[in-house]
Parts: sequence; structure tokens; C-alpha cells
Amino acid sequence: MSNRRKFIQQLAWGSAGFLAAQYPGSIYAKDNFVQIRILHTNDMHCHIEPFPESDSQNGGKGGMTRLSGIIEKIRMENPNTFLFDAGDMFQGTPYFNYYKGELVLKIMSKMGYDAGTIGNHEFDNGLEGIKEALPFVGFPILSGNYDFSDTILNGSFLTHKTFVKEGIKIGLYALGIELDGLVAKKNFQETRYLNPVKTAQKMELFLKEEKKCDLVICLSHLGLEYQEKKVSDRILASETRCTDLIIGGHTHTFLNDAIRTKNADGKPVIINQVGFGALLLGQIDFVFDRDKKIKMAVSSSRKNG
Amino acid sequence: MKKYMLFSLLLFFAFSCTTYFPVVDTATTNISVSESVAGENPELLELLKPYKQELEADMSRVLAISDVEMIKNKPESNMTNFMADMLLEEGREYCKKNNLELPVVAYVNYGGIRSTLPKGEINVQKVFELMPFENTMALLKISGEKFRKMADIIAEREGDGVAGMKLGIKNKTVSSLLVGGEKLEAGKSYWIVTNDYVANGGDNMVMFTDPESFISTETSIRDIIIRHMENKTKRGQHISAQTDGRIFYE
Repeated sequence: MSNRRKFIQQLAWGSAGFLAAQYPGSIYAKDNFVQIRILHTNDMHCHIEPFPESDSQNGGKGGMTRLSGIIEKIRMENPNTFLFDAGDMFQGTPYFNYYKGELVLKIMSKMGYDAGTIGNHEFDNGLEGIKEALPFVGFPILSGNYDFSDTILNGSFLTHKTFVKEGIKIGLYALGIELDGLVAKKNFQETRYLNPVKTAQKMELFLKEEKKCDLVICLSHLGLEYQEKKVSDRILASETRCTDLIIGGHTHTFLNDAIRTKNADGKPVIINQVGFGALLLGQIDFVFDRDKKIKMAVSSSRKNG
Repeated sequence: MKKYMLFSLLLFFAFSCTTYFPVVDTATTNISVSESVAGENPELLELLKPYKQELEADMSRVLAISDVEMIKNKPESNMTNFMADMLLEEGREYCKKNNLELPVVAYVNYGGIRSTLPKGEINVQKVFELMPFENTMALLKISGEKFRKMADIIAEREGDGVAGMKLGIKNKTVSSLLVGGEKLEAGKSYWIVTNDYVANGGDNMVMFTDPESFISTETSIRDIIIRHMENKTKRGQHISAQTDGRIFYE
């Protein structure tokens, strides 16, 4: 399929004619544009089926079976689509109490997730609960700031992952929330919590410089923002330099649209979060121009790490 | 010659910063997961089927009849009171059976109550929605001083689930406090029944983390609720709950 046709189809799906508006006419003649589409979820909490009709707020909505229907439709329209989850897959419906991590991870694997991360509720059945669920995961789980070296989960997770689609390289890393005070000590044991901002600065630089990624994405279970001075996606965005997108979770924040803000260098960074229970699907499109490679001196920003 | 090569090598490194494909545009949309957008994926429904059948058979079992709809609220509510009263009653039963000192107070963290209970039939599903976590019942003996700290936190949060105590709150601070009908004594110790989550300091209940004595019952609170309801039904009783001013604003 030509890129031109893809574009027309994508526009038809409703991504708002944003390119047509910005590059009137000319865009359709060019084959050098690649559109990378990022779909994302967070805090699905085992809502495998739509919410029961009796639910006053969300009756008949959400659920992974229906979410998957939407994702399949989008994938048919744009093969350059990724699907990520920002944690708290576990806990929330009896499916978890009965089948623990097994069923939800089987379902998510079938949905074709490209990567996920660890939310605080993933610890609900302790480290053993995570270990027992791992055989059912068909996609990589990333964690940058939980150090499991001294636990039974040592070596179970990746710190980062890179993907290549149509010549565009995408780097992914992930951050989790502080467990102390949120998760019972017996459930996380000797898991060490590393500073998320420092981890992010290290990871993004590594992905940008060493791995030469065109796009850097963070899966975060830190939460969007807090009244008190607690690390959040907002703070993370303002203290990083190479991260283009922060896919958030934990605070169950329903955003009508993604937040566009500035990073430590004043460059654009997008933060998004889509509530909970598979009620919303986040969709972020990045359009790349493969005709003009640009130079970027990333090293200059290293001092602040 | 060598010098020249080294120089050109250095020059090469200095200017060879990585090149990237630039992002020329972005677009963002958050899509509502509703029937109008797409139907359910039939492949997933197929995978889910055996699990769903097994679960539904078990979940639809009716445990008890409730005379009232229970909804949680602050400073107190029939829902929070039901949970705390139930825990105090079952905690005392446990202690009687095991020849232990009886708890005087039950504490249920507000955030741990995850749903409401309808008026009428309560089935297993409702109890799972109410108490989805795998928490167990815990008993702890704390000093009067630490008890006061717990009361301070409840006052700061403007309410919680309690039984066996009466608490007045004014401007998010404790204005009056009775434990088992009597004034709190700093030098005395008190047995509290709660869940292992807060007993381990969850929800920032740090005053619980270093108790004088601690008993982990390893009995699931959800199983306790289910048994409690079944027993009421066996005795021909309905379940009910009301507010009684155990936590009040002044």
C-alpha cells in the first residue's frame, strides 16, 4: 500500500486532518512521510468485559474485549501502530481474584500488546504473584527504576526496548511509583526503588545517543500530578530532554486530550493518560519526514543528569 | 602524518553528532471505548468463555438480604459502619475461639471499601466488588498514644470506618474521643482489629507498624464477609446498617 493511500485512510479514521491543514495539497504527493501511531492504555484493572449495565457511570462501556475491537480496526488502517500499557493490569474484578494474573495477561497477549510496565497493583499477590503470572505474558514488561536483583524476580524484566518501523527507530523505557507506604513491605520485599527522574535522564540519553532512537517514549506509573511535592509525569516532563511522549497511569486521570508541554530544554513533550478500566484508548500520532535527517547534539545536555 | 590523522579523527568525532528523522507533526485523540466505535473482539470472547462460565456460576450465589442500600460517605455512613461493625464482631469471635484478649475497636480504611451494597439480594459478586483485595484480618495492640495518632489521622481525613469508638472532629482535628465509652488513656494499651494492609503501614498508617503485639489471622476479609452474611441468613436474619453519630463534625 502506498503511503499516500495510507494517509488518506488514516485521515478518514478521524485523526482530524491535521496534516492537510498544515501542508495544504502538497502532502498527498509526498511519499517520504511516515506516520507512527501509538495506542496506549493504563490501569485496566482486569476490566476484561464492558462495565455491567447496572454501573451508573460506565454501564456498557469499556472493557478489553471491546477495546480490542477498536484496536483491530485501527491496526487495519495503519500497520505502523504500537500498543503499550502503563501498568495496573491486575486487580479490580473477580477475574483477578479467581485467575490472578493468568487470564488478564493471556487476554492482553492476544490483544497484541508490544510492551507493558509494572504498576503498584501488580504487587497485590506479592513477588510470587508476579512470578507465577510471568509464563502467561506474551509481550515484554519493562521497568527502569525497580531493582529486583535481590528478589525472585531478578532478570525478569527489561530496562528498555527499541522498535524499528519503516526506518524509524523508537526507544521505550518505563518508570514505577514508590512502593513504600503504598504496597505492603511483604509484597515487594527487597525490591529497590531508584529515583525515577534520574533513571529517566539516564535512559533517555542512552536511547537517544547510544541507540540512536528517533522517538523516545516513557511508560510511567508515577501519576499525572500531585498537590504535594511528589514526583509525577508533569515533573518528569519538565526535567527530561529527549523524551517525546510520557504515557502515564496510576492517578486514573481521564484526559479529553493529551497534554502538550515543554521539557527542560523548552522542546515539546506530550503527556497522556486514559482513566482506567479500558474506558478510553489513547492515540498519539507522530509524523516523520524521512527525506531530511537532522543533526541533534544531545551530549550538551548531559551535565544535568 | 600521524598527527594529521589524529586531528582529522578528532574532527570527525566532534562533528559527527547523531542524525535523526525529524517529527514534522503530531496528532492526539483519546477514543471512548463504547459500542458505537467497535464491537467486542470475537477471538477474545472465545478465549474468555470457559473462565466466564466458571466464574458466573459461582458469583451468582445469593448470600444474604439487605434491608437497606449501603453507600460509603464521610464522616460516617451505613456502609463504613457495616464493615467496621462486622469486622469487630468477627474479630471478637476469632479471639474468643482462640482464647485471646478481645479487640475494643475496629478500623477499616475508607479507601479499602471499593463499592456499594444494594438493597435486597447480595450475591458473591457484590462482595467481590466491595472487597476485591486479598487482605486478611489483623489484630494489633497499640499504646494510647498511638491510638491518639490514629484518631488524629481519621480527623484529618474527615472520617473513616470505625467501630467501638466515638470521635468528634473540628477543623480536621480531634475535638472529642471515647474508646469503648471511656476516655482514652495514654498509658493504657488497646487491641484493634483491622486489615493487614493498614497494619503494615499502608495508607500511611505508620502508627500501626510498630505495635506492642501483633496477630496475623491469615483469614481473608472477603471470606469473613461471605461467612458473616451466610450465618445471618442461616439464622433467618437480614443484614442492615445505619449511621449513629460515631464520627461527627462539631
